[in-house]
Amino acid sequence: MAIADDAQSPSAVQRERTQRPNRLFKNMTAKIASIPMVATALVIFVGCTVWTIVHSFTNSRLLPRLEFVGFEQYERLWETRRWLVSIENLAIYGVCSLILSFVIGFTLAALLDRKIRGEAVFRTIFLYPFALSFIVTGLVWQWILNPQFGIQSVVQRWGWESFAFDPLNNADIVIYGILIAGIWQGSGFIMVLMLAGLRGIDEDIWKASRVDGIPVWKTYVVVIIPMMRPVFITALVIITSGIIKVYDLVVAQTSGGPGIASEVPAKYVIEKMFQSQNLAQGFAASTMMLLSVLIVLIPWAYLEFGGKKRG
Amino acid sequence: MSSFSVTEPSNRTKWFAGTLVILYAVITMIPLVWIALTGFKSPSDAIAYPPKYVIGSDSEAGFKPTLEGYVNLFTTRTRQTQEFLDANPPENWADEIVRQYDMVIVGPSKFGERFLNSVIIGFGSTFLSVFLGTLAAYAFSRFKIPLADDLLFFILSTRMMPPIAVAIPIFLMYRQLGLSDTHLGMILLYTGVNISLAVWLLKSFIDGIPTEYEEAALIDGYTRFQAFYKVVLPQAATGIASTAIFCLIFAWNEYAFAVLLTTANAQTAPPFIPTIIGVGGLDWPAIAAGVTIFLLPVMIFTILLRKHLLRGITFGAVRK
Repeated sequence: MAIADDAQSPSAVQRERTQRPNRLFKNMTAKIASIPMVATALVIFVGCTVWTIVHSFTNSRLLPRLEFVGFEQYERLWETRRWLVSIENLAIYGVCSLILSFVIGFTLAALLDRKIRGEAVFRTIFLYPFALSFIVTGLVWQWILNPQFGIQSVVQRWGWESFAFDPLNNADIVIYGILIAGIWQGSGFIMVLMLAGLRGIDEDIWKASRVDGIPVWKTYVVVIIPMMRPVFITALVIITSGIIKVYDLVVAQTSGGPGIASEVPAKYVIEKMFQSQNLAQGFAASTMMLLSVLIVLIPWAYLEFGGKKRG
Repeated sequence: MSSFSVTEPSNRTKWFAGTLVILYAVITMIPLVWIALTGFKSPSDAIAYPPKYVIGSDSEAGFKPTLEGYVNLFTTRTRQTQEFLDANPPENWADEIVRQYDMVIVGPSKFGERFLNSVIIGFGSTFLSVFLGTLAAYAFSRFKIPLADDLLFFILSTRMMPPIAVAIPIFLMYRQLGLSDTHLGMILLYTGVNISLAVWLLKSFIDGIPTEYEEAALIDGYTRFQAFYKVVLPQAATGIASTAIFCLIFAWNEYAFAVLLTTANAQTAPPFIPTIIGVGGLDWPAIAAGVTIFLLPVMIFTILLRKHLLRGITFGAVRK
C-alpha cells in the first residue's frame, strides 16, 4: 500500500479530487490492503477444507490419494467404538458444560449486578482463566484432582476421612473431571458477557416490574433473559465452537484415559491422521466435526447479520 | 460500566451476593495460587501429605521455599559418584541445589529454547496480524468494497472452524514449501488464523474514528497513506493494543498446530510443558515452575488491557 501511494505521491490528492478514475481503479489501494486477509482466508481455510472433504471419500492411508470409495469411510467411522465413545463424551461434556457454565455465569453476573464493591477487580479475576492455555488448565486440574495431593487429600485432612473424589482414574466419571476444568475456564467469560448484557437493559424495565410487584427472579426469567437473546446467542456460538474443538484440555489432563474413556473427536482425528496412518478416516471424522460447527454457525449468522440488514 | 441495572438492592442482598462472588473468586484463584506455590517447593514437599501451603513456616503445613523447580526446569542433570562430587566443588548456586541429590548440571534443558520459540512466534505473528489487519481494516472501514460485510463475516467464521480440518493440507503444503518446523511457517500460520479476528476488531475501532480529520489532512496535501499514518493510527492505538493481545493469546496458547507441524526447531512451549512429566518421574515443581513462567506474559497483558478484553473475545459483539 505504501509503495502504491508513494509512487503517485505529490499529485495523488489532486487526481483524487479532479479526475474520476474508473471503477476498477477507484479503490485500488483499499483492494490491495485487503488482499492478504481475503487471500489467506480463501486459500488456507476454504481451499484446505474443501480438499479435506474431497479426500474423506477416498481410501487414502499413509498418503492422500484420489481413489474414491464413496461413503465407506463414514460407514466405518460410525462402526468404530472409539469414535462412538468420543461422540458420547463430547455430547456429555458439551451439554453439561453449556448448561452449567451458563447457569454459573448468569448467576454470578446477576449477583455482581447488585452494586458489589470492587466489581472491576472481580470481573478481571473471573475472566483471566479464559486467557490461559488449555494445556495449563489441564495440568493444573490434573494436579488438583490427583487423589494423593489434591482436593481429596485436603478434605480428608479436614476430618472427612471417607471423602472420595478421584474422577480422573475412574472410567465411568472421567469426563466429569474434564468438565470441571472446562467450566472453571469458561464460566467467568460467560459471566462478563452476561453482565454486559444486563447493563444494556433499560433501568425503567426494573422500575416497571417493581411497580407491578413482580418478584426479582421472575423478572429475570420472564423479562430480562428473553431481552438478552443476542448476548445468549453470541455466547452460545463462541462456547459451542470451542467445545467441538476440545483437544488440548483432554491431552493435558488424561491423554484420553483411562483406556479410551475420555477420548474426544478432535483427538480421534489427530490420531487417525498422524499416528495410525489412516488419513481418509481422519478426514471423514474431521468432516463430521466441520458439519457440526456449521450447524451452530449458520443460525447465528442468520440471526446476527441477516436480521440486522433487514432492520 | 457505571450504571447498574437493578435499582438500589437492600443491604442484606448486597452482603449475600458479595459473599457468593468472593467465594467464586477464591475458587477461580486457588488453582493458580497453588501452582505458583508449588513452583517454589521441593519435590517431596510438593507431593507431601498433608499438603503444605504456608511459606517459610516450621509448622506442619509449612514449607521452605526453594528454587529447585526452576533449576530443574532450565537444566538437564546427571547423577555422579561421590568421588566426582568431592573433587569438583559446586560452581554456582544452581549447582549447589542440585548437589543435594548427588547430581550435577550438565547443560541447559530445552525449556529455554522452547520459550524463546514461543516468544518469537507469538510476538512475530501478533505483529504481522496487527500490521496487515490494520491496513485491511482501514480499507474496509473507509472505502466501498463490494460485499464487505458478508466477506468479513465469512472470513471471521473461519476462525471458529476446527483447525484439524485443515491440518493435513497445510502439513503437505508446508513440506513442499520447506516451511514445516520453521519459525516463519508458524508465524505465517498463526497470522492466517488471527488476521480474520484482527480485521474484524480493528474495523469496529476505526469505524468509531470520525472521518473529518483525515479529510482535512487530505485537503492539506497529505497523501492517503500519510493521513492514515499520521491521523488515524494514533487514534486507533487503543484498538490496536487490544487486538494485539487477542492475537497474542491465541498464538501463545495454540497447541494442536504446534504439536503437529513442529518437532524440534520451532516447537513452542505448550507441547513441551506436559512432557516435563516424563523426565525423572513426576517432577511437579518443575512443571509448576514452567507453567508459572509460561503464564506470566499473558497474565500481565490481561491485567493491562482488562478493559478491552471483552470486546475481543466476543468478536466485537459486546462493546462495553
